[in-house]
Amino acid sequence: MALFRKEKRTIYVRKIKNFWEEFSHNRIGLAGIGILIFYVMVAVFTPYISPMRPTSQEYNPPRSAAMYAMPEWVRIFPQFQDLPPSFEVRLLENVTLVNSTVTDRATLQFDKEALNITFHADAEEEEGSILLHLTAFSYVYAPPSDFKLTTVYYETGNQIRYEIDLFLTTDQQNDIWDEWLEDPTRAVLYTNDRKVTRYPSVDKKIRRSLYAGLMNEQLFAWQYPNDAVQYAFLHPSEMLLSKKGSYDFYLEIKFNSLASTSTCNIHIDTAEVKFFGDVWGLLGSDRVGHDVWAQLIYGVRISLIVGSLAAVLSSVLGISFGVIAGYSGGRTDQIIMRGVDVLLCLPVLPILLILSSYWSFNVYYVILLIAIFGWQGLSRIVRSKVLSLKEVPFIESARAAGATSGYIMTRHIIPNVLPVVMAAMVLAVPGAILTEAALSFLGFGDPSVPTWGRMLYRSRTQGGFESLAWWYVIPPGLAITFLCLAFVFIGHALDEIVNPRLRRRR
Amino acid sequence: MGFRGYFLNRIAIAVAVLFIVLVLNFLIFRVFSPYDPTDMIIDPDFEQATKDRLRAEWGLDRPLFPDQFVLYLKNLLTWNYGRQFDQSKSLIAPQMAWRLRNTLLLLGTATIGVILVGIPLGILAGSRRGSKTDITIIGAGLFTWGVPTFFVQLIWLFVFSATWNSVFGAPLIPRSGVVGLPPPEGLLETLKDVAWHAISPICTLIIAGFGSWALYTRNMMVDALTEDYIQTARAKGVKGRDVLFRHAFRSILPPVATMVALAIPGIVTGAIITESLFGWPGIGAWYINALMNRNHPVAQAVLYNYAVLMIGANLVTDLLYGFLDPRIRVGQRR
Amino acid sequence: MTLLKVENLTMYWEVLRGYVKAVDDVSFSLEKGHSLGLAGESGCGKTSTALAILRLLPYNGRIMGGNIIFNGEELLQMNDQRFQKEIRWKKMSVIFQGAMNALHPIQRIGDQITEAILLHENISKKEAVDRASKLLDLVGIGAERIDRYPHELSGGLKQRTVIAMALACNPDLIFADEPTTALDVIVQAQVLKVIKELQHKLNLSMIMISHDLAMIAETCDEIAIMYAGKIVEYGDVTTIYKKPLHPYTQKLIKAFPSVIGPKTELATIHGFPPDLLKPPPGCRFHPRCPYAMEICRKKDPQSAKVDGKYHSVACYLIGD
Repeated sequence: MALFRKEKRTIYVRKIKNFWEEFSHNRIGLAGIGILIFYVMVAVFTPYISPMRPTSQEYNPPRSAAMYAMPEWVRIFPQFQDLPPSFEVRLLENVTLVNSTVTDRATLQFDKEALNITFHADAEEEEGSILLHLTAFSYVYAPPSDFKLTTVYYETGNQIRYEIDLFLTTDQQNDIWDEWLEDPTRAVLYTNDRKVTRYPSVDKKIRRSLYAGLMNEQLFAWQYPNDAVQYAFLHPSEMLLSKKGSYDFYLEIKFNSLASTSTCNIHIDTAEVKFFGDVWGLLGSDRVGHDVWAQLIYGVRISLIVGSLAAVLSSVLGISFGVIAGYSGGRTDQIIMRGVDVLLCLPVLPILLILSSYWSFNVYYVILLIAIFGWQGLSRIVRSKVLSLKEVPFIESARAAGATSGYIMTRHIIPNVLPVVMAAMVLAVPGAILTEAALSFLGFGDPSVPTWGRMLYRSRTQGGFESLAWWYVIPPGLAITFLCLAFVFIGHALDEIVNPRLRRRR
Repeated sequence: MGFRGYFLNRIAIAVAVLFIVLVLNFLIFRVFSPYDPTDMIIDPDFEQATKDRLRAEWGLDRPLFPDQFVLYLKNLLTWNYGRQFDQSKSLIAPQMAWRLRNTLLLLGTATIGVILVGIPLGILAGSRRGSKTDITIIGAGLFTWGVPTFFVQLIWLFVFSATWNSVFGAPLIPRSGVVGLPPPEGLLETLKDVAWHAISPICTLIIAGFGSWALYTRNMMVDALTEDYIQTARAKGVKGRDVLFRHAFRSILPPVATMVALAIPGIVTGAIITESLFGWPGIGAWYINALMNRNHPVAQAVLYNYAVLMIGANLVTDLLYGFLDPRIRVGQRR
Repeated sequence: MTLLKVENLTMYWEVLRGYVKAVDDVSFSLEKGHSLGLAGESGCGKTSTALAILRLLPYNGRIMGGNIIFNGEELLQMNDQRFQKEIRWKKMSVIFQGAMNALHPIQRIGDQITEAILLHENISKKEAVDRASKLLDLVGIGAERIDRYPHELSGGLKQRTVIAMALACNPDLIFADEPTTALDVIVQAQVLKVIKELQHKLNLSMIMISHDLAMIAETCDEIAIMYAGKIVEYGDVTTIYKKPLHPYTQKLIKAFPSVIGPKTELATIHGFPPDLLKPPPGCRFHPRCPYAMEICRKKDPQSAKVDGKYHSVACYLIGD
């Protein structure tokens, strides 16, 4: 028995060797294997290839770039070389005191992380102001389309009124500022005027995130002069940084005591400006400024899972039904084959659409549906092959030797059917991938996984076309195409090998 | 079994399939559906009496089976789909007629186009096996097999609509519709306008679809050309072109007809996406909308029409097969 | 009168690794009204010879040299159009293996025969159909079956259809390529009977290609034994049967069972036919020949006449 098994194993080894020998001469098939290996490697090393993760319902990090930012490398073209990348300016890193009217009643502490200002008043209606220079930075790009200022501070105090102003100045001659700002030498980004009356019950954390900067009331009112229509559609951030040059951030705090024993403490621990670049990463950004490269790379895993799982499931169904129908014959055969007829007449995609619109949008559910509606073609091929195999002497002799139907099916029929249906099985993979992509593309896919179909759906429905965001349209489409091509190539090669008439003459 | 028996058999099967589809269509929308059909029309804040009156108005107070089911069967079979499940409550049938016509126009021309491009290329490749032509056609065939139809269409839109718009100030291809607005006058002008609107969806369907047909035809031609009867024909003195068409192609015509039947689901699938991409007012785009708005009478009606379309196409190809291949015997086809 | 004379015909298959020397220096001739059998194992070049003469070679068949003279005309110089119109099927036609796939599966047999007639003769469709029905009667199918499809006929009837088709234009010469292979024994006999009757009735000249020596003996006047692309022995049937000279012929004849005569064990020829890409030097049979001598390994034996008009052998054992 052991010997027998060993012999059997050598037979299989030889068969596989011969098969590989045939396959290795088929260029198209090898190309398919090559592409597939590439995809599998990408799927295995996904976290290393894309350090960022794509967003999903559970994972929603802040965006990293402006809406539809171009890929970073487009800056090698002269017309794009000025586009700003994403970068961040930390405002508390290099604070200097410019001017203080209250040096004796105020204490100032600052280091790189935080800024702490305490003020004590001696009399009612006492005023004081402190002007701090926060950071200077030089801006060397075209005006950005988007930036975000974040400040977080705590206030504690009693019977005092304070005003906090964060503003930007520039040494550039800036006509937009002249036109627009009350005081064209400073653009106020953030201002807050508060009364604090109780102590110590108030200890409030104030967090401000300002997109595109301008919190200045004069600017926010959008009171455009009639003769300056050309600026009407300017984004505030384009206005603020309309010139290349050096800019300075200043912080001014004014105190006004309401009682003779007023006190106030302001602790600023975050102040930063994030510029959302108009160029970002390898493949730019999507509508909400998230990385496209991450979505593309993480899509490989999903597509491979969808394609292979659905193909395996539908192959199992197709082979089982085909073998049962072909081997049993009679009524069972009739019933199964009529079932196949019915399934072949069903409009599969519309039904998949309705079913996936009913129940939870889950990718595994979609896979199951694709498999359930995708086995009919294969079962027909299998059945006809089984019908011809049934009459072959070695099966008859197995039956005569007392083998049960189950044994014959699993030991004799299925191993002989497999080579013939291999091509069809491989070709089921692109079918499943394309179906899932079509569902996602129509907006009926699983929204929590980053599939290529979903990317294309978003590019179409969220203005990617109008923005000419080719980096959001073409890469996912090509990724689907090449993955499907890999399987189509392999399937074609298998077909040529198994079907001797198609074999290339050598 | 003769021709007649075969035909009757296929027709009986088609009728049976139609019935099963009708039942499934009812089950999917009325039994499996986790949503109550009244969600869309009945405000939860209505009084109970109002709710009941509305339910009665839509006939939803009667039992699902047999009342609603029988009514459903009667309505679909008489091409009467009731009213839309939305505020307008407009009749479905007139819109269905108009939209179905548009869809058939698109599907029909695209199918014919794919056949006219794919099959001759397949014959050409098969007859010049191993040549550069053959390799090119195989390559194109494999490529269009892998590329999703909607990707081809997205590229098409990206180039001729979006990019064209940004470069020349207006898109080259029409944004949507079957005819422009206002509709042109005169038959010839109308036809021209319809053709102009249809050319993008049809071209993209052909580009994305011809390859697999060419490949399939090519493989069958290669197979057929190695048959002995082709040598007989050559020996008899049949000329090259006649050998190709009258002998080799004629013998693969029945399986090609089957291929048409098997390709129909793919074309239907392609048409749904095509319609919504190119704003072609057919039943596919309507279906997507109906699903999103849970307008279930419309979705049901469209699904039914798709099934009828496919059953009809299958039946026609079956009959065609029987007509083309005298060897028909039950269980031996395909 | 000599109908067909083949001189030094050489035909190679061009493949990636070189040339397969399928027909090498083959010469024979056929008198009008006579029939010749080409015998040998599978792959010895007998069908290739026929295909070369009929110009039915696949794309990689190359005629490297030789002459084919048919009715006094050199065929290899003739252009394709004229050959197709005036010679093939008109003057010489083929009986293919009908039991297999030689008939178009979804064309009526009548149409297939009529097509052959109409392609070569300027007659009306109706006349052609008439002639087709006559031919079907002649081969014993019966004119009433003219509208049948091949799948409605038995193997024997299909083979008769193929014969009728070959006779469609009253050819002078018919090649029969394994006409009875893949048929049941009884049907074989019937088909053979038809062929013999036709030979007699129409005074047909025929080249019969078969591995079945018995069948050739029954139908042919002369026989050429081929081995590995060469004719090793040539002569009239009785002579060769009674007195085979070439070792290969001797073994071949012994390898066939005889119904009459004493029961003997069938002889086998050990070894395999050579790879014609690289045929052995010298006599191609020498690796399998029990009498191989030194010279056999070095020099190719030339065909030499032995006693009488026809009989010639290519072997160093004979002559000299």
